[in-house]
Amino acid sequence: MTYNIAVINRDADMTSSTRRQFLRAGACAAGTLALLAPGKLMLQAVAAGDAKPATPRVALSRFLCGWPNLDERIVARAFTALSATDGAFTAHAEALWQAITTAVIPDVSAFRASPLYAEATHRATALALLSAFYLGVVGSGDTAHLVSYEAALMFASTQDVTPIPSYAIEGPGAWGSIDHAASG
Amino acid sequence: MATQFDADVIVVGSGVLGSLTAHALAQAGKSVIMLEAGPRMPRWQLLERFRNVADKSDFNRAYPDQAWAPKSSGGPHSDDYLQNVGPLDYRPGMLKLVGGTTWNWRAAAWRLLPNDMRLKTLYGVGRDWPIDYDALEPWYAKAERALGVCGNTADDQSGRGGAAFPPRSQDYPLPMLPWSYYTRTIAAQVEAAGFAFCDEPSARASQPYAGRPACAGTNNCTPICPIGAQYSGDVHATLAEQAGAQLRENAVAFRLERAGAKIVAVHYQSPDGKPTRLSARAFVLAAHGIETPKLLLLSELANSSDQVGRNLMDHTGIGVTLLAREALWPGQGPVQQGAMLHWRDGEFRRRHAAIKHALGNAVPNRAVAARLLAQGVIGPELDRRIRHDAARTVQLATAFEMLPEPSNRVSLSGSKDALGLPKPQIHYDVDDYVRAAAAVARQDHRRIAEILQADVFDADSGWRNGDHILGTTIMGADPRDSVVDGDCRTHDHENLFLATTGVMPAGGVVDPTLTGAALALRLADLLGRSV
Amino acid sequence: MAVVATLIAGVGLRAGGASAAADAVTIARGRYLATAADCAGCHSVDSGPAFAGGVALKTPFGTLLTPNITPDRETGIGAWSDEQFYRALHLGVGVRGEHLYPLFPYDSYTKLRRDDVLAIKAYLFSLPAIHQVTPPQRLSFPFDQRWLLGWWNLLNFRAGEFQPNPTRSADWNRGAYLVEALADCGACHTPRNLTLGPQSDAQFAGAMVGSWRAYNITTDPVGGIADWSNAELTSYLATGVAAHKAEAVGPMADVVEHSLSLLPAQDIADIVSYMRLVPGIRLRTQGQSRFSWGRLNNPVIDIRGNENLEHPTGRTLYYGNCAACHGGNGGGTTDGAYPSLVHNTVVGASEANNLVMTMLAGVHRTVQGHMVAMPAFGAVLSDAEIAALANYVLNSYGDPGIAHVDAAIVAAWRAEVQPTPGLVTAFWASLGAVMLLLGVAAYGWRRWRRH
Repeated sequence: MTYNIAVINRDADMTSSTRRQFLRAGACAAGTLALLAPGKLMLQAVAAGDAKPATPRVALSRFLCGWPNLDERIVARAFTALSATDGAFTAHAEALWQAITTAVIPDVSAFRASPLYAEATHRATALALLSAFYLGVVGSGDTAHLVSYEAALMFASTQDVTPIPSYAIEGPGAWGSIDHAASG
Repeated sequence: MATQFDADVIVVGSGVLGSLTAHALAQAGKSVIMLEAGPRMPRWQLLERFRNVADKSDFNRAYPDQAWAPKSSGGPHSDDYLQNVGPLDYRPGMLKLVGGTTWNWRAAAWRLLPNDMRLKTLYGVGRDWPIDYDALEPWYAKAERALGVCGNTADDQSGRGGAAFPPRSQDYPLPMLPWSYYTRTIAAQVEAAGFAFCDEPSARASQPYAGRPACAGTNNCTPICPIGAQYSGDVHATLAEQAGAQLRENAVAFRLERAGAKIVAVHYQSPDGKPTRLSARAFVLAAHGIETPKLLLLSELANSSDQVGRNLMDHTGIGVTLLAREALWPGQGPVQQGAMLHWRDGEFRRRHAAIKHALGNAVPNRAVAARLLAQGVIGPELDRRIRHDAARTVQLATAFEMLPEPSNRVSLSGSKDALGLPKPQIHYDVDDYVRAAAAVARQDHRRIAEILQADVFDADSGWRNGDHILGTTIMGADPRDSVVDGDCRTHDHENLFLATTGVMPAGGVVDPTLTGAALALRLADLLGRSV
Repeated sequence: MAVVATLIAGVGLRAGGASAAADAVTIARGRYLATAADCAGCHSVDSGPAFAGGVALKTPFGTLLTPNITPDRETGIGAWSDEQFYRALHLGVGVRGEHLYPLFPYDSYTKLRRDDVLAIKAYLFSLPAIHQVTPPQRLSFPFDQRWLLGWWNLLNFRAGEFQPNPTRSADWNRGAYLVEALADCGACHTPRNLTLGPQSDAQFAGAMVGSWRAYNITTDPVGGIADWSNAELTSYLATGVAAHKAEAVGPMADVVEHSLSLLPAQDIADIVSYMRLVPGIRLRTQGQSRFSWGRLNNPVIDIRGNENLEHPTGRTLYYGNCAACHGGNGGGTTDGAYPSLVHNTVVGASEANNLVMTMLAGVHRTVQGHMVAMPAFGAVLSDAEIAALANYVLNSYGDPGIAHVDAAIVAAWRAEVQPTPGLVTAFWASLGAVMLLLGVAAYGWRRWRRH
């Protein structure tokens, strides 16, 4: 699955091309993207991936999120937080990745349909990790660990329409002119 | 022989009501000292604290948690501060910092209806206010200007779909914010079915106002407006200081001292326990609806009626989350934009509480994603479903009016806080007046779900705090059953005033801050001319 | 105003001479001319009655208060004749024959045609008379000696009405009248010589206005505005915004709000025609244009959960104060309502003044009823915090070479501290030198005469 990065001006790592060129590209891409992967719009916070081979934990994280560019620093934070509350977590995660690669499961949709996902420990591990990336937090209350906020994947699939709270996406009152009746 | 005072007036509490009072008095040329239990924090720091806080389910957690000035929740020093001993766990929003609790609110700025102030006379329940709407109206107008309230002057806010109501001497100072698609669509659909839908007036700059920028729709009103378009009490705390008031932060008032019937001094502690005594000609307690009665109880003052701390009321309510058939897209614009008011007033108030259904407009992604993950949804389907469900989430927050019950009360607990002061003890329950209304409200919820062709997603929210602390220092004409008179002056002490929503003997079914602000400006005017 | 604009399309000669009797058409023309010249900008306090004066203008020589130009006979100009009013604008001479301080730009208004001058007078005289005393000017010696301004005039001033240039188009000539006689863009945008007169060989090449910088608006492709399209220039002048490029801030926002946005479209087009033929000048070393700097960045993963809020870096301050509107990555909003800081003509300038002043003072601009506002962060941030924030913005989105703003310079800009006595001394010294030379020449002349 390919991801078009030139959709919204909030993308990372834009070079000195002018905004106008960028927005024009975005307008063309948006239509294509809507057909391909409505959920895979670029986050403002996710850095461009690097070419180094990924460690198992990074590879597992990117595999489960379906996000090849998921930032390693976020992965590190998630693993630190999950290990703090569950000493066996890292071992479970590595075992899961081992199982996935051994079974040559191509992507997370296939993983979901596979017997691996029915196995209790694998399922719990996958969901704990996904929860960390999607909700941006591990645990609750005063002892919760922050994994991310702006980069939390729960916002990724709607950020063309609604804001990540505390960030404006258009000017004052712009929401008053938006009509969603046409879209689904 | 003239006595030396530290100030003409000492105001305890730098939240919206204390700061409005202090500012008005300073402008009238009085020397004013404000005491604030908590610290001074700049907006940018509170915003980054919020973004950095891990568990965002309690918005209070973004605010500093200090041992000497606990909040109502959201931190190790605060989580067990309020000692609930009754059937319900009452934990209303309460912050301790310069500017007070309105750093974290939704800025709803309703006026009471004239009938809200005559519950006993009209409907045989609860208490009447000792003053009427006409007495308060000019102060509502001033409060709307002070807070920068935007709204629709033409609305019938009594929910009867008629001419503009309640009566106003001035238009709203700011035009209403445009409705998002979500609000427009739902309003049209429920109105067609007979539920009167009204814009919610709010203390939000719909265009640049008094140095505040216009609302940018960052949808973060609570826990904190990132840009200050939404009013917060620090606005008038700053204005009060600029007008000459002195503000002492990290100053926890723990006792008022009297000589005869006059209050002569207030004693406060700094975080290290060091005490200070300040004297003044008059005193205004503006420490919100729990700390104000607590201070009076600690000082054994103003309580010949035995009503201090009693008659605790809130707009305790219920909520429901629906999943509509069509994409409506909550999350554009401010977090709340309008309400259904068809149960705001009427003969039914003899039998059950008034009801307000507020339409929540917050970005719902966190709850949606958590729910889907709990169901084991992963992969591209997770993103698709998050988008699908977030676009269709409809949140209703339903509030009920409560009646004053002496057994609902704030008193002094046997447990002590870090400064050695008793923690507040709370006994709180809802009665049949509210329960009967809740049954009606649930019927409304089902009807609204039908109208929107929605599934009811989460019908059992349990009782929710309204964060509106009323009644704990109740206003009345008779000193035997009330704490303050119609001017917010304590019956027992001529130079002690209370600027808090705790004075309200009836709250209607609307957020009380604007009413509190009107009362504060009114008492400041009276005090400014007489002290 | 739209009706007036239709009646008086553009700047052109009016048939018929000026007369003392004020008819509606003359008054309307006078109102239009007063708008183009933005008389209210100096003569009206924001919240006060129109043209009653009392606005404080800081200069290196002290603060001047503008006079009351309402038709009040005692405290305003109500007793002035047409001739006296004309001499004030044409020659910079007051009713008692005294020199007016050239802060009143008579060196531009001298170019106004006589009937235009009298139309302005007719307009002012149609307004309510406001009784408001202007305190006497209080400059320090020797600058309170008005006769010295005769020397200033000798060095800097040539009286004379505008003469159209027959080799240029009608559009250009109308634009020249607007720019040179009325709007007086050079008052801010032309650098000053030692006597604070305009440098005639550096017209529009950029100058300071208090702590703000009025940028180079010559046709230099790097230092000036040659690379701006006509649409961008037109939009900027008429609305204060060139989308995704520039926003008028500070004194220019006032000019747009009170003057340029109220002019007919043809006037703006004529101004653009004129500006297109201004010789290109680049006074400062400037490697690239103001709108060519910056890239979107992405620091949020670094900072989220890692910040020291007690001792914040510029980056943390950016997130807490700026990112909500200008984006975590500096890109602003898609519709440009909150501008991008990348390719931004204020952020990318070769000096940090306007960036810092915008942070301190905010932006307030109302055009066609549409209010634009950015809060004044000077009210909530210290000088050190503003400096750290400015350096973060410059390093990320502007010219990193100037990212060395410190608290001291922020404090100086905040106070709108005027240029140092060096300039004043130089002025006095040069004046003294001139007087000495003339004294020597006079002595020599007498001696020659005796022989």
